[in-house]
Amino acid sequence: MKVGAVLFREPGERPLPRKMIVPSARSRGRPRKDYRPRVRSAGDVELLRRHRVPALLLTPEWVTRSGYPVQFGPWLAIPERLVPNVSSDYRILPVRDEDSLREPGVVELVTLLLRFDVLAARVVASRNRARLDPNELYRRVRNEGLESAATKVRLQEFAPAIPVVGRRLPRGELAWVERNNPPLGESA
Amino acid sequence: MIEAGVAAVAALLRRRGIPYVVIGGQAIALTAATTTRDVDVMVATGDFARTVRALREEPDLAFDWETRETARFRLLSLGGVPLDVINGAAFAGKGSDQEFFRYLADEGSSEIDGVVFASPEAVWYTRLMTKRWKAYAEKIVTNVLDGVAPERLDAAEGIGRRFGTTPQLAERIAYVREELARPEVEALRRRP
Repeated sequence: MKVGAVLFREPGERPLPRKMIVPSARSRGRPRKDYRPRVRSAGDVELLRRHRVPALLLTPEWVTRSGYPVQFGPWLAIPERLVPNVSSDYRILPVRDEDSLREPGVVELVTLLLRFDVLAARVVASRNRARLDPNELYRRVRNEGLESAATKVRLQEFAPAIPVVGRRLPRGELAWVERNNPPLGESA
Repeated sequence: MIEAGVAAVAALLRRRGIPYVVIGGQAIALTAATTTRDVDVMVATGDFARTVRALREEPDLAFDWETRETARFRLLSLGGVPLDVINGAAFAGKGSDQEFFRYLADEGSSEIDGVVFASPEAVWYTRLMTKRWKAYAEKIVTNVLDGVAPERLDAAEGIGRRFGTTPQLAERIAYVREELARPEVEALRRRP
């Protein structure tokens, strides 16, 4: 038995543009043909968002603007349950809490970064401390099950309620990472 | 495409006739997607002092500080991107001071568009041989998520055997392997 997730168009909603949908494999003898969105550009992600599909393109420009100058291939963050239904050239970052993709701010950025670059998550958290809601950060980290990644870079310093799970990097090394990666336009 | 900071530093060193190898994230960037903007170059121990002297005269570079192993500059035209000039002696283990740089230049690097870049295994070796190796271990995990083959850790171990640094390196490589085996890391690695 296979559990699936599908995207429904609700009454009054316009369909996704034809160029963005590709047919899924059709089983022999089955009358219905399923389609899934194909995401190949930032514009496609925007279109999905306009159609209320929680999708987010995590780009290096966003992280750099948030105080950690970095380059990486963008990640497409989508709800875990939609992963089999989206076709994309981007690397996929499955997210458990799809609400976190609706209005993403610095807390959501830190939580997404914890998945693939914990040092970036730490520096962004530190450089945006004034805008970081500790309760919200705790909630997002718990919802994604990222306590161990958060502990590694001592995010309890920003959200004390996050449970300590596993190893912690030495404070001195975290401070060194921050010193070594000044925001663009600032002195080291 | 080669980063503007890397191209600028390589041009400066070439003009001064100083052999160098780009190491760190900018070298890994050739095979992995994620890298910070800072530039690290290694020079031979015998060239370290004259390299620092020469770069201090460059108008586009601001000198920050210097130790026996590293000199820190900033690239002014690129908004202060840090440039570290690194003395190869710190990585030579039981070999002579010059030996690691010689290995790097002859076997552990390749030239792309006129710039010499260290191989991923050489970068990983140097990262794990520093005192901040735990932070660097996280960067190695990110590199693997970006698609650098984890088997390159075996090659880094090989470099350790060559320079007699295995006792120090083995525990650190084991730490990286444990990190790579974490379920959340494995789950992302399995995705296309």
